[in-house]
Amino acid sequence: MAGSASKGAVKSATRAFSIQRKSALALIPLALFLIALILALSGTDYETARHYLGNPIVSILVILTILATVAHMRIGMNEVIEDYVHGSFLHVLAKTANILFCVAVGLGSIYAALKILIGF
Amino acid sequence: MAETRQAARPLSPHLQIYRFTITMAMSIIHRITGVGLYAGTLLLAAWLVSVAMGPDAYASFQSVAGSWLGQLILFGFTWALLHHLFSGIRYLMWDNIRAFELRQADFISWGAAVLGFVAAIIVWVVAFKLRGVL
Repeated sequence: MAGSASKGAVKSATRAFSIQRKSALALIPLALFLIALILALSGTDYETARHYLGNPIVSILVILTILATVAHMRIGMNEVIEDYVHGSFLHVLAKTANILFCVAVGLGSIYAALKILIGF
Repeated sequence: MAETRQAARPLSPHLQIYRFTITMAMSIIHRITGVGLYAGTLLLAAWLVSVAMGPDAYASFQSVAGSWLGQLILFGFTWALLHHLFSGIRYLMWDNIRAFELRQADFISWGAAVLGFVAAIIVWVVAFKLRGVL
């Protein structure tokens, strides 16, 4: 643990640990909400789905779920990569792909949720 | 480095050498379901995007999701999510030094495994009832 670089790593690891736990806690009710929402909308027609997802409270809860999920899964996958993907190039490539995937899924989902809510 | 690798050094024991414990199995399953859910977020995104795009896109999404393969994947997703949720609660408990004794740790691990599976079945029974299939 000598040197400034490793000190930075310790700090960011503590931060990741903390975000992982907070997002986990938030996702307990949010994941249950998401299951209930999908259940309520399973097999319904387009108008019903749009009506439910266009409700501001539902929409905000959906967006919160997405944000907590993306924060949580980025750290989780990062841990998996650190354990299994070795070799400096592949390691960095996998971590980069992880960030890009999480941002893409997050932005895409939030864009769709807002489009349903506001209708732009 | 090359010379030291050639010497037959002892390897640290890996998974197969240990006796099965539920906490070990649950640790592995937690990771596998986590990775599965990671990929599964694409389904959530596709669902929201299809609603945002309009009736035609939503109909396509529903026909894929409603196929037997789609239903199987969705059941897997439901189970993975609920399993990961209950399994994850154990980690939050352990972070706070709860259920740390061996027997308690085993008990909540079995409990999480059973709860996750039962909850997934209940969700799907309700889903089929809502659709009038059951």
